[in-house]
Amino acid sequence: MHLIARARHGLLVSAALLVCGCAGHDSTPPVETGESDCPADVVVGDPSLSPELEPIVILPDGTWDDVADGDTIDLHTPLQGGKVILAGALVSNVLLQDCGRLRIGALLRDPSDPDERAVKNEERHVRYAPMADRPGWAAPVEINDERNMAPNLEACGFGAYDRDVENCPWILDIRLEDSATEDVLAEVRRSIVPTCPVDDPGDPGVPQELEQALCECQCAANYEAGRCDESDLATYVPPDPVCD
Amino acid sequence: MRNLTALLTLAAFAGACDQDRPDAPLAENEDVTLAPPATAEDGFQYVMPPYDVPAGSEVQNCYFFESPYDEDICVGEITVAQNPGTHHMNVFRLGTEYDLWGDPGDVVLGNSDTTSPCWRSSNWADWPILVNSQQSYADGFYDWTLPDGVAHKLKAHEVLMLQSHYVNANTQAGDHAVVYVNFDRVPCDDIQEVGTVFASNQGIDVCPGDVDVTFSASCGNDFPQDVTVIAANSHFHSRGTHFDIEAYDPVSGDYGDPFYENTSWDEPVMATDLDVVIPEGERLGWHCSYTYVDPVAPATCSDLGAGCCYVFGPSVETSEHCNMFAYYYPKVEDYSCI
Repeated sequence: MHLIARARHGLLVSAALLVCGCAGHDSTPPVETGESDCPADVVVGDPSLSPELEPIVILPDGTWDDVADGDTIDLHTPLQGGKVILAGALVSNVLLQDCGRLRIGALLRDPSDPDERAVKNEERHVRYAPMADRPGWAAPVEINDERNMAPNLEACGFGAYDRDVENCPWILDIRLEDSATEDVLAEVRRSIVPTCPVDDPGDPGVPQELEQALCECQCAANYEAGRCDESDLATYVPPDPVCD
Repeated sequence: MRNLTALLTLAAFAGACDQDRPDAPLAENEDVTLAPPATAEDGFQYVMPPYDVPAGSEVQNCYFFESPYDEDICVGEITVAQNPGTHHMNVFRLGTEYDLWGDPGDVVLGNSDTTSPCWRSSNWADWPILVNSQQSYADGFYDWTLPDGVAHKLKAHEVLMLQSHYVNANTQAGDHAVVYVNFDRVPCDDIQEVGTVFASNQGIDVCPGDVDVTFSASCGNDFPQDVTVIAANSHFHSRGTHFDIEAYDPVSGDYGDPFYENTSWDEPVMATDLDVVIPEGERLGWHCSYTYVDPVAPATCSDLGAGCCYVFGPSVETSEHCNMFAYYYPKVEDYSCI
Protein backbone atom coordinates (compact mmCIF):
# COMPACT_ATOMS: atom_id res chain seq x y z
CA MET A 1 0.00 0.00 0.00
CA HIS A 2 1.30 3.44 -0.84
CA LEU A 3 1.32 5.40 2.35
CA ILE A 4 0.65 8.71 0.73
CA ALA A 5 -2.92 7.58 0.26
CA ARG A 6 -3.40 6.60 3.87
CA ALA A 7 -4.87 8.63 6.66
CA ARG A 8 -2.39 11.03 8.14
CA HIS A 9 -1.92 12.03 11.71
CA GLY A 10 -0.18 14.76 13.54
CA LEU A 11 -2.88 17.12 14.68
CA LEU A 12 -1.40 16.98 18.13
CA VAL A 13 1.75 18.72 17.11
CA SER A 14 0.41 22.20 17.74
CA ALA A 15 -0.97 21.30 21.08
CA ALA A 16 2.21 19.59 22.07
CA LEU A 17 4.22 22.64 21.15
CA LEU A 18 2.05 24.77 23.37
CA VAL A 19 2.64 22.38 26.21
CA CYS A 20 6.34 22.47 25.52
CA GLY A 21 6.44 26.24 25.31
CA CYS A 22 8.57 26.12 22.19
CA ALA A 23 8.38 28.51 19.30
CA GLY A 24 7.34 26.19 16.47
CA HIS A 25 8.06 27.59 13.05
CA ASP A 26 8.13 31.25 14.09
CA SER A 27 11.78 31.78 14.84
CA THR A 28 11.77 35.51 15.45
CA PRO A 29 10.85 35.97 19.12
CA PRO A 30 13.47 35.15 21.72
CA VAL A 31 12.58 32.02 23.58
CA GLU A 32 12.69 31.51 27.29
CA THR A 33 14.97 28.55 27.55
CA GLY A 34 16.05 25.91 29.98
CA GLU A 35 14.32 23.08 31.72
CA SER A 36 11.52 25.40 32.86
CA ASP A 37 10.25 25.34 29.29
CA CYS A 38 9.68 21.65 29.44
CA PRO A 39 6.46 19.96 30.45
CA ALA A 40 6.22 18.09 33.71
CA ASP A 41 7.03 14.41 33.73
CA VAL A 42 4.09 12.34 32.58
CA VAL A 43 3.34 8.64 32.47
CA VAL A 44 2.06 7.34 29.16
CA GLY A 45 0.39 3.95 29.36
CA ASP A 46 1.53 1.57 32.05
CA PRO A 47 5.29 1.76 32.74
CA SER A 48 5.05 -1.51 34.63
CA LEU A 49 4.50 -3.17 31.27
CA SER A 50 7.07 -3.50 28.53
CA PRO A 51 7.28 -0.46 26.26
CA GLU A 52 5.44 -0.75 22.96
CA LEU A 53 6.31 0.82 19.63
CA GLU A 54 4.34 1.43 16.47
CA PRO A 55 6.58 2.38 13.52
CA ILE A 56 5.82 5.56 11.63
CA VAL A 57 7.44 7.59 8.87
CA ILE A 58 7.44 11.35 9.13
CA LEU A 59 6.04 13.33 6.22
CA PRO A 60 7.31 16.69 4.97
CA ASP A 61 4.46 18.55 6.64
CA GLY A 62 5.28 17.14 10.07
CA THR A 63 2.47 14.60 10.08
CA TRP A 64 3.14 10.90 9.89
CA ASP A 65 1.98 7.61 8.48
CA ASP A 66 1.88 4.26 10.18
CA VAL A 67 4.15 1.61 8.68
CA ALA A 68 2.77 -1.86 8.12
CA ASP A 69 4.80 -4.80 6.92
CA GLY A 70 5.43 -4.53 3.18
CA ASP A 71 4.47 -0.88 2.94
CA THR A 72 5.91 1.41 0.34
CA ILE A 73 7.26 4.55 1.99
CA ASP A 74 8.19 7.89 0.51
CA LEU A 75 11.78 9.05 0.60
CA HIS A 76 12.31 12.50 2.03
CA THR A 77 14.57 15.31 0.82
CA PRO A 78 16.64 16.82 3.66
CA LEU A 79 18.25 20.23 3.56
CA GLN A 80 21.63 18.81 2.64
CA GLY A 81 20.30 16.99 -0.41
CA GLY A 82 20.12 13.29 -1.11
CA LYS A 83 17.24 11.30 0.29
CA VAL A 84 16.53 10.17 3.82
CA ILE A 85 13.96 8.04 5.55
CA LEU A 86 12.52 9.73 8.60
CA ALA A 87 11.50 6.65 10.53
CA GLY A 88 10.39 6.66 14.14
CA ALA A 89 7.62 5.39 16.33
CA LEU A 90 4.63 6.06 18.49
CA VAL A 91 5.35 4.80 22.00
CA SER A 92 3.41 3.43 24.92
CA ASN A 93 4.16 2.33 28.48
CA VAL A 94 6.87 4.88 29.08
CA LEU A 95 7.63 7.72 31.45
CA LEU A 96 8.15 11.00 29.60
CA GLN A 97 10.72 13.03 31.48
CA ASP A 98 13.65 15.28 30.71
CA CYS A 99 11.53 17.45 28.44
CA GLY A 100 9.77 14.40 27.05
CA ARG A 101 12.89 13.04 25.42
CA LEU A 102 13.18 9.42 24.39
CA ARG A 103 16.12 7.85 22.58
CA ILE A 104 14.85 6.38 19.34
CA GLY A 105 16.95 4.36 16.90
CA ALA A 106 16.36 3.32 13.32
CA LEU A 107 18.32 0.78 11.27
CA LEU A 108 17.99 0.12 7.57
CA ARG A 109 18.95 -3.51 7.00
CA ASP A 110 19.70 -5.36 3.79
CA PRO A 111 17.46 -8.43 3.46
CA SER A 112 19.66 -9.83 0.71
CA ASP A 113 22.59 -10.09 3.12
CA PRO A 114 22.82 -13.38 5.05
CA ASP A 115 23.34 -11.41 8.26
CA GLU A 116 20.84 -8.70 7.31
CA ARG A 117 23.48 -6.12 8.07
CA ALA A 118 22.45 -2.54 8.69
CA VAL A 119 23.62 -0.31 5.87
CA LYS A 120 22.58 2.77 7.78
CA ASN A 121 21.56 3.64 11.30
CA GLU A 122 20.89 6.64 13.46
CA GLU A 123 19.82 7.11 17.05
CA ARG A 124 18.70 10.37 18.56
CA HIS A 125 16.73 11.95 21.37
CA VAL A 126 13.23 12.83 20.17
CA ARG A 127 10.70 14.83 22.15
CA TYR A 128 7.37 13.20 22.78
CA ALA A 129 4.00 14.36 24.06
CA PRO A 130 0.89 12.37 24.99
CA MET A 131 -1.62 11.88 22.18
CA ALA A 132 -4.97 13.46 22.97
CA ASP A 133 -6.85 11.13 20.66
CA ARG A 134 -5.15 7.97 21.80
CA PRO A 135 -4.81 7.59 25.56
CA GLY A 136 -1.79 5.66 26.67
CA TRP A 137 0.32 6.60 23.65
CA ALA A 138 2.77 9.38 22.87
CA ALA A 139 3.83 10.89 19.57
CA PRO A 140 6.92 12.85 18.48
CA VAL A 141 6.82 16.63 18.67
CA GLU A 142 8.04 18.91 15.90
CA ILE A 143 10.15 21.73 17.33
CA ASN A 144 12.52 22.84 14.61
CA ASP A 145 11.24 20.94 11.62
CA GLU A 146 10.01 17.48 10.80
CA ARG A 147 13.53 16.08 10.78
CA ASN A 148 13.75 16.20 14.55
CA MET A 149 10.71 13.95 14.93
CA ALA A 150 12.60 10.76 14.12
CA PRO A 151 16.02 9.37 13.24
CA ASN A 152 17.27 10.45 9.84
CA LEU A 153 18.34 7.42 7.83
CA GLU A 154 20.56 8.57 4.98
CA ALA A 155 19.23 6.40 2.18
CA CYS A 156 20.28 7.88 -1.17
CA GLY A 157 23.05 10.10 -2.40
CA PHE A 158 25.29 9.59 0.60
CA GLY A 159 26.93 6.22 0.32
CA ALA A 160 27.36 3.37 -2.09
CA TYR A 161 25.06 0.47 -1.46
CA ASP A 162 25.40 -2.35 -3.95
CA ARG A 163 21.65 -2.59 -4.46
CA ASP A 164 19.00 -0.04 -5.27
CA VAL A 165 17.24 1.77 -2.47
CA GLU A 166 14.17 2.70 -4.48
CA ASN A 167 11.64 -0.01 -5.26
CA CYS A 168 13.60 -2.73 -3.49
CA PRO A 169 12.62 -4.37 -0.22
CA TRP A 170 14.56 -3.33 2.87
CA ILE A 171 14.20 -4.09 6.54
CA LEU A 172 13.42 -1.25 8.91
CA ASP A 173 14.12 -1.75 12.61
CA ILE A 174 12.89 0.83 15.08
CA ARG A 175 14.22 0.83 18.62
CA LEU A 176 13.49 2.50 21.91
CA GLU A 177 16.72 2.70 23.86
CA ASP A 178 17.59 3.59 27.42
CA SER A 179 18.84 7.17 27.27
CA ALA A 180 21.81 6.50 29.48
CA THR A 181 22.90 2.94 28.71
CA GLU A 182 21.55 2.65 25.16
CA ASP A 183 20.16 -0.75 26.05
CA VAL A 184 17.34 -1.70 23.70
CA LEU A 185 14.05 -1.49 25.61
CA ALA A 186 11.76 -2.33 22.71
CA GLU A 187 12.20 -3.07 19.02
CA VAL A 188 9.91 -3.60 16.05
CA ARG A 189 10.70 -4.67 12.51
CA ARG A 190 8.99 -3.95 9.23
CA SER A 191 9.70 -4.83 5.62
CA ILE A 192 9.53 -1.65 3.57
CA VAL A 193 9.93 -0.56 -0.03
CA PRO A 194 11.29 3.01 -0.30
CA THR A 195 10.06 4.98 -3.28
CA CYS A 196 10.61 8.36 -4.88
CA PRO A 197 7.48 10.42 -4.15
CA VAL A 198 5.65 12.00 -7.04
CA ASP A 199 4.93 15.17 -5.09
CA ASP A 200 8.22 15.61 -3.25
CA PRO A 201 8.80 19.23 -2.25
CA GLY A 202 12.31 18.27 -3.08
CA ASP A 203 15.53 20.11 -3.53
CA PRO A 204 14.85 23.78 -4.26
CA GLY A 205 17.89 23.83 -6.48
CA VAL A 206 16.48 21.22 -8.85
CA PRO A 207 13.64 21.90 -11.34
CA GLN A 208 10.50 20.01 -10.42
CA GLU A 209 10.45 18.10 -13.69
CA LEU A 210 13.84 16.63 -12.83
CA GLU A 211 13.00 15.63 -9.26
CA GLN A 212 12.00 12.08 -10.15
CA ALA A 213 15.10 11.51 -12.26
CA LEU A 214 17.31 12.95 -9.51
CA CYS A 215 15.75 10.68 -6.91
CA GLU A 216 16.01 7.60 -9.12
CA CYS A 217 19.61 8.41 -9.96
CA GLN A 218 20.62 9.02 -6.34
CA CYS A 219 18.87 5.88 -5.17
CA ALA A 220 20.28 3.51 -7.78
CA ALA A 221 22.94 1.03 -6.69
CA ASN A 222 26.57 2.05 -6.27
CA TYR A 223 26.05 5.79 -6.05
CA GLU A 224 29.09 8.01 -6.53
CA ALA A 225 29.37 11.74 -5.95
CA GLY A 226 28.83 13.67 -9.16
CA ARG A 227 26.79 10.93 -10.79
CA CYS A 228 23.53 12.86 -10.74
CA ASP A 229 24.53 16.27 -12.03
CA GLU A 230 21.56 18.34 -13.15
CA SER A 231 22.93 18.58 -16.67
CA ASP A 232 22.60 14.82 -17.06
CA LEU A 233 19.19 14.37 -15.49
CA ALA A 234 17.06 15.39 -18.48
CA THR A 235 18.33 12.38 -20.39
CA TYR A 236 18.77 10.07 -17.42
CA VAL A 237 17.75 6.49 -18.08
CA PRO A 238 17.52 4.38 -14.94
CA PRO A 239 19.67 1.25 -15.06
CA ASP A 240 18.13 -2.17 -14.66
CA PRO A 241 16.88 -2.68 -11.12
CA VAL A 242 19.33 -4.25 -8.69
CA CYS A 243 17.53 -5.67 -5.69
CA ASP A 244 19.43 -8.88 -5.01
CA MET B 1 37.74 33.37 -6.74
CA ARG B 2 40.77 35.49 -6.11
CA ASN B 3 44.11 34.24 -7.29
CA LEU B 4 46.73 34.96 -4.74
CA THR B 5 49.49 33.05 -6.39
CA ALA B 6 51.85 35.94 -6.05
CA LEU B 7 51.15 36.22 -2.37
CA LEU B 8 51.49 32.59 -1.56
CA THR B 9 54.51 31.69 0.42
CA LEU B 10 54.88 28.05 -0.29
CA ALA B 11 58.02 27.61 1.69
CA ALA B 12 58.68 24.31 0.12
CA PHE B 13 62.17 23.88 1.28
CA ALA B 14 64.64 25.25 3.75
CA GLY B 15 65.42 28.88 3.99
CA ALA B 16 61.96 30.37 4.03
CA CYS B 17 61.90 30.53 7.77
CA ASP B 18 64.87 30.08 10.01
CA GLN B 19 63.12 30.37 13.32
CA ASP B 20 62.81 27.40 15.58
CA ARG B 21 59.54 26.59 17.19
CA PRO B 22 58.85 29.05 19.99
CA ASP B 23 58.96 27.42 23.38
CA ALA B 24 57.46 30.29 25.33
CA PRO B 25 54.02 31.90 25.25
CA LEU B 26 53.52 34.35 22.44
CA ALA B 27 53.86 38.00 23.30
CA GLU B 28 50.98 40.32 22.53
CA ASN B 29 50.66 40.75 18.77
CA GLU B 30 53.35 38.13 18.20
CA ASP B 31 52.52 35.56 15.56
CA VAL B 32 53.31 31.91 15.80
CA THR B 33 56.09 30.61 13.54
CA LEU B 34 57.28 27.20 12.51
CA ALA B 35 60.58 26.31 10.91
CA PRO B 36 60.21 24.37 7.67
CA PRO B 37 61.79 20.99 7.04
CA ALA B 38 65.53 21.39 6.59
CA THR B 39 65.71 20.05 3.04
CA ALA B 40 63.44 19.00 0.22
CA GLU B 41 64.30 15.43 1.10
CA ASP B 42 62.92 16.06 4.56
CA GLY B 43 59.63 17.55 3.45
CA PHE B 44 57.84 20.75 2.61
CA GLN B 45 55.95 23.49 4.36
CA TYR B 46 52.75 25.33 3.47
CA VAL B 47 52.35 28.82 4.88
CA MET B 48 48.84 30.13 4.69
CA PRO B 49 48.63 33.80 3.73
CA PRO B 50 47.68 35.48 7.04
CA TYR B 51 44.34 37.23 7.30
CA ASP B 52 42.61 39.47 9.82
CA VAL B 53 39.31 38.65 11.45
CA PRO B 54 37.21 41.75 12.21
CA ALA B 55 35.61 41.93 15.64
CA GLY B 56 32.25 40.22 15.73
CA SER B 57 32.89 38.13 12.66
CA GLU B 58 33.86 34.69 11.46
CA VAL B 59 36.12 34.06 8.47
CA GLN B 60 36.57 30.77 6.66
CA ASN B 61 38.91 30.72 3.69
CA CYS B 62 39.95 27.87 1.42
CA TYR B 63 43.52 27.84 0.09
CA PHE B 64 44.66 25.58 -2.73
CA PHE B 65 48.26 24.41 -2.93
CA GLU B 66 50.16 21.45 -4.25
CA SER B 67 52.84 19.01 -3.29
CA PRO B 68 55.98 20.57 -4.80
CA TYR B 69 57.49 17.27 -5.87
CA ASP B 70 57.74 15.70 -9.32
CA GLU B 71 57.34 12.29 -7.74
CA ASP B 72 54.92 10.60 -5.39
CA ILE B 73 55.98 11.04 -1.77
CA CYS B 74 55.10 9.60 1.61
CA VAL B 75 54.37 11.80 4.63
CA GLY B 76 55.12 10.35 8.05
CA GLU B 77 54.80 13.43 10.24
CA ILE B 78 52.60 16.51 10.09
CA THR B 79 53.19 19.54 12.26
CA VAL B 80 50.75 22.43 12.49
CA ALA B 81 51.21 25.83 14.09
CA GLN B 82 48.24 28.19 14.33
CA ASN B 83 47.77 31.54 15.97
CA PRO B 84 45.45 31.48 18.98
CA GLY B 85 41.75 31.69 18.18
CA THR B 86 41.63 29.14 15.42
CA HIS B 87 38.37 27.32 15.15
CA HIS B 88 39.61 24.69 12.77
CA MET B 89 42.10 23.89 10.05
CA ASN B 90 41.34 21.05 7.68
CA VAL B 91 43.51 19.89 4.78
CA PHE B 92 41.56 18.00 2.12
CA ARG B 93 42.49 16.18 -1.03
CA LEU B 94 40.36 17.30 -3.95
CA GLY B 95 37.40 15.27 -5.13
CA THR B 96 34.46 16.07 -7.34
CA GLU B 97 34.26 19.67 -8.53
CA TYR B 98 31.03 21.08 -7.18
CA ASP B 99 30.99 24.80 -6.39
CA LEU B 100 34.27 24.85 -4.51
CA TRP B 101 37.35 24.49 -6.69
CA GLY B 102 40.73 25.99 -7.28
CA ASP B 103 44.14 25.65 -8.80
CA PRO B 104 47.31 25.85 -6.74
CA GLY B 105 47.60 29.40 -5.47
CA ASP B 106 43.90 30.14 -5.56
CA VAL B 107 41.96 31.13 -2.49
CA VAL B 108 38.20 31.11 -2.05
CA LEU B 109 37.20 33.61 0.62
CA GLY B 110 34.25 33.07 2.90
CA ASN B 111 32.60 34.52 5.96
CA SER B 112 29.31 34.23 7.74
CA ASP B 113 27.82 36.99 5.63
CA THR B 114 28.39 35.26 2.32
CA THR B 115 27.23 32.25 0.43
CA SER B 116 30.79 31.40 -0.51
CA PRO B 117 31.29 27.74 -1.39
CA CYS B 118 34.12 27.72 1.12
CA TRP B 119 31.72 28.81 3.84
CA ARG B 120 29.11 26.27 2.82
CA SER B 121 31.65 23.50 2.28
CA SER B 122 29.12 21.99 -0.05
CA ASN B 123 31.37 19.42 -1.64
CA TRP B 124 32.75 17.48 1.27
CA ALA B 125 31.06 14.38 -0.05
CA ASP B 126 34.16 12.91 -1.67
CA TRP B 127 37.00 15.20 -0.63
CA PRO B 128 39.16 13.00 1.59
CA ILE B 129 40.52 14.60 4.72
CA LEU B 130 44.31 14.52 5.02
CA VAL B 131 44.77 16.15 8.42
CA ASN B 132 42.71 18.34 10.72
CA SER B 133 43.47 20.44 13.78
CA GLN B 134 41.62 22.81 16.06
CA GLN B 135 44.66 23.31 18.21
CA SER B 136 46.23 26.73 18.49
CA TYR B 137 49.71 27.51 19.70
CA ALA B 138 48.35 28.23 23.15
CA ASP B 139 48.11 24.46 23.53
CA GLY B 140 51.48 23.75 21.97
CA PHE B 141 52.31 22.57 18.51
CA TYR B 142 50.25 19.94 16.87
CA ASP B 143 52.80 17.31 15.99
CA TRP B 144 51.44 14.09 14.57
CA THR B 145 54.04 11.41 13.95
CA LEU B 146 52.51 8.42 12.26
CA PRO B 147 53.52 4.91 13.39
CA ASP B 148 56.59 3.37 11.79
CA GLY B 149 55.74 2.00 8.38
CA VAL B 150 52.53 4.00 8.07
CA ALA B 151 52.20 7.17 6.00
CA HIS B 152 50.02 9.39 3.90
CA LYS B 153 50.86 9.13 0.21
CA LEU B 154 50.80 12.24 -1.97
CA LYS B 155 50.95 12.04 -5.72
CA ALA B 156 53.37 14.21 -7.66
CA HIS B 157 52.03 17.77 -7.56
CA GLU B 158 48.82 16.58 -5.92
CA VAL B 159 46.59 19.54 -5.23
CA LEU B 160 45.39 20.01 -1.67
CA MET B 161 43.03 22.48 -0.05
CA LEU B 162 43.54 24.01 3.39
CA GLN B 163 40.37 25.37 4.96
CA SER B 164 40.98 27.81 7.81
CA HIS B 165 38.22 29.07 10.10
CA TYR B 166 38.84 31.79 12.68
CA VAL B 167 36.24 33.35 14.97
CA ASN B 168 36.51 36.75 16.64
CA ALA B 169 33.22 36.98 18.47
CA ASN B 170 31.56 35.64 21.60
CA THR B 171 32.64 32.04 21.41
CA GLN B 172 36.25 32.47 20.33
CA ALA B 173 38.62 35.40 19.97
CA GLY B 174 41.15 35.19 17.19
CA ASP B 175 41.76 38.39 15.30
CA HIS B 176 44.74 37.40 13.18
CA ALA B 177 44.91 34.07 11.40
CA VAL B 178 48.31 32.49 10.87
CA VAL B 179 48.75 28.84 9.92
CA TYR B 180 51.84 26.79 9.10
CA VAL B 181 51.80 23.14 8.13
CA ASN B 182 54.89 20.96 7.76
CA PHE B 183 54.69 17.72 5.80
CA ASP B 184 57.70 15.61 6.73
CA ARG B 185 58.65 12.83 4.37
CA VAL B 186 59.50 9.23 5.06
CA PRO B 187 60.75 6.65 2.55
CA CYS B 188 57.93 4.98 0.66
CA ASP B 189 59.47 1.52 0.90
CA ASP B 190 57.11 -0.99 2.52
CA ILE B 191 54.72 1.72 3.59
CA GLN B 192 51.13 1.01 4.57
CA GLU B 193 49.00 3.91 3.43
CA VAL B 194 46.67 5.80 5.76
CA GLY B 195 42.96 5.75 5.01
CA THR B 196 40.56 8.29 6.44
CA VAL B 197 36.99 8.52 7.65
CA PHE B 198 35.25 11.88 7.67
CA ALA B 199 31.65 11.86 8.84
CA SER B 200 29.14 14.53 9.61
CA ASN B 201 25.63 14.23 10.97
CA GLN B 202 23.76 17.06 9.29
CA GLY B 203 20.37 16.20 10.76
CA ILE B 204 21.08 17.56 14.23
CA ASP B 205 19.15 20.20 16.08
CA VAL B 206 19.63 21.50 19.61
CA CYS B 207 16.51 23.16 20.93
CA PRO B 208 15.52 25.14 24.02
CA GLY B 209 15.43 22.89 27.05
CA ASP B 210 17.74 20.26 25.60
CA VAL B 211 20.23 18.84 28.08
CA ASP B 212 22.76 16.30 26.88
CA VAL B 213 20.72 15.30 23.85
CA THR B 214 22.70 12.82 21.82
CA PHE B 215 22.88 12.00 18.12
CA SER B 216 24.54 8.74 17.08
CA ALA B 217 25.29 7.23 13.70
CA SER B 218 27.79 5.07 11.87
CA CYS B 219 29.77 5.80 8.76
CA GLY B 220 31.04 4.02 5.74
CA ASN B 221 30.90 0.61 4.31
CA ASP B 222 32.02 -2.13 6.60
CA PHE B 223 35.76 -2.67 6.64
CA PRO B 224 36.54 -5.76 4.52
CA GLN B 225 39.50 -6.60 6.74
CA ASP B 226 40.82 -5.74 10.16
CA VAL B 227 42.11 -2.18 10.24
CA THR B 228 43.89 -0.18 12.93
CA VAL B 229 42.79 3.32 13.88
CA ILE B 230 45.84 5.43 14.68
CA ALA B 231 44.31 8.87 15.21
CA ALA B 232 40.95 10.53 15.70
CA ASN B 233 39.45 13.91 16.26
CA SER B 234 36.06 15.53 16.71
CA HIS B 235 34.37 18.79 15.93
CA PHE B 236 31.34 20.53 17.30
CA HIS B 237 30.51 24.02 18.53
CA SER B 238 29.94 25.57 21.94
CA ARG B 239 26.75 23.69 22.75
CA GLY B 240 28.69 20.45 22.44
CA THR B 241 29.24 18.63 25.73
CA HIS B 242 30.55 15.20 24.81
CA PHE B 243 31.84 13.45 21.71
CA ASP B 244 32.92 9.85 21.35
CA ILE B 245 33.98 7.47 18.61
CA GLU B 246 33.79 3.70 18.68
CA ALA B 247 33.36 0.59 16.52
CA TYR B 248 29.86 -0.20 15.30
CA ASP B 249 28.59 -3.71 14.65
CA PRO B 250 26.10 -3.56 11.76
CA VAL B 251 24.74 -7.01 12.58
CA SER B 252 23.82 -6.42 16.20
CA GLY B 253 23.37 -2.69 15.76
CA ASP B 254 25.47 -2.05 18.85
CA TYR B 255 28.28 0.43 19.45
CA GLY B 256 31.46 -0.70 21.17
CA ASP B 257 33.26 1.06 23.98
CA PRO B 258 34.59 4.47 22.96
CA PHE B 259 38.24 4.67 22.00
CA TYR B 260 38.05 8.45 21.65
CA GLU B 261 36.24 10.87 23.94
CA ASN B 262 36.23 14.64 24.04
CA THR B 263 34.45 17.25 26.14
CA SER B 264 36.32 20.34 24.94
CA TRP B 265 34.44 21.93 22.10
CA ASP B 266 36.96 24.66 21.25
CA GLU B 267 40.32 22.96 21.67
CA PRO B 268 39.83 19.23 21.16
CA VAL B 269 43.23 17.66 21.13
CA MET B 270 43.60 15.15 18.36
CA ALA B 271 44.29 11.67 19.64
CA THR B 272 47.42 10.57 17.77
CA ASP B 273 48.54 7.61 19.82
CA LEU B 274 45.69 5.23 19.11
CA ASP B 275 46.22 1.59 18.24
CA VAL B 276 42.64 0.36 17.97
CA VAL B 277 41.77 -2.62 15.82
CA ILE B 278 38.38 -2.45 14.11
CA PRO B 279 37.41 -6.01 13.19
CA GLU B 280 36.52 -7.03 9.67
CA GLY B 281 32.86 -6.40 9.04
CA GLU B 282 32.54 -3.52 11.47
CA ARG B 283 32.72 0.23 10.88
CA LEU B 284 33.07 3.44 12.88
CA GLY B 285 30.30 5.09 14.83
CA TRP B 286 30.16 8.35 16.71
CA HIS B 287 28.04 10.17 19.29
CA CYS B 288 27.57 13.94 19.65
CA SER B 289 25.89 15.36 22.77
CA TYR B 290 24.69 18.92 23.34
CA THR B 291 23.15 21.13 25.96
CA TYR B 292 21.20 24.16 24.83
CA VAL B 293 22.31 27.67 25.70
CA ASP B 294 20.63 30.90 24.64
CA PRO B 295 22.09 32.69 21.64
CA VAL B 296 24.45 35.44 22.75
CA ALA B 297 23.90 38.98 21.45
CA PRO B 298 24.12 40.19 18.82
CA ALA B 299 22.83 36.78 17.69
CA THR B 300 19.13 36.25 18.25
CA CYS B 301 16.68 33.46 17.64
CA SER B 302 16.13 34.85 14.15
CA ASP B 303 19.72 33.82 13.34
CA LEU B 304 19.03 30.25 14.39
CA GLY B 305 16.69 27.61 13.07
CA ALA B 306 12.98 27.54 13.68
CA GLY B 307 12.07 27.13 17.33
CA CYS B 308 15.29 28.94 18.25
CA CYS B 309 17.10 25.66 17.64
CA TYR B 310 20.71 25.35 16.62
CA VAL B 311 20.89 23.31 13.44
CA PHE B 312 23.78 22.06 11.35
CA GLY B 313 25.87 24.86 9.88
CA PRO B 314 29.30 26.49 9.73
CA SER B 315 28.70 29.45 12.04
CA VAL B 316 30.18 28.83 15.45
CA GLU B 317 27.96 31.49 16.94
CA THR B 318 24.63 30.34 15.59
CA SER B 319 24.84 26.72 14.43
CA GLU B 320 26.26 23.34 15.35
CA HIS B 321 28.38 20.61 13.88
CA CYS B 322 28.77 16.90 14.58
CA ASN B 323 31.88 15.88 12.66
CA MET B 324 34.07 12.84 13.17
CA PHE B 325 37.58 12.36 11.81
CA ALA B 326 39.49 9.09 11.96
CA TYR B 327 42.73 7.87 10.41
CA TYR B 328 43.49 4.18 9.96
CA TYR B 329 45.63 1.65 8.11
CA PRO B 330 45.89 -0.24 5.87
CA LYS B 331 43.89 1.98 3.58
CA VAL B 332 40.80 0.46 2.02
CA GLU B 333 39.44 3.75 0.81
CA ASP B 334 38.74 7.22 2.12
CA TYR B 335 35.24 7.21 3.52
CA SER B 336 33.03 10.26 3.63
CA CYS B 337 29.66 10.19 5.31
CA ILE B 338 27.92 13.50 5.05
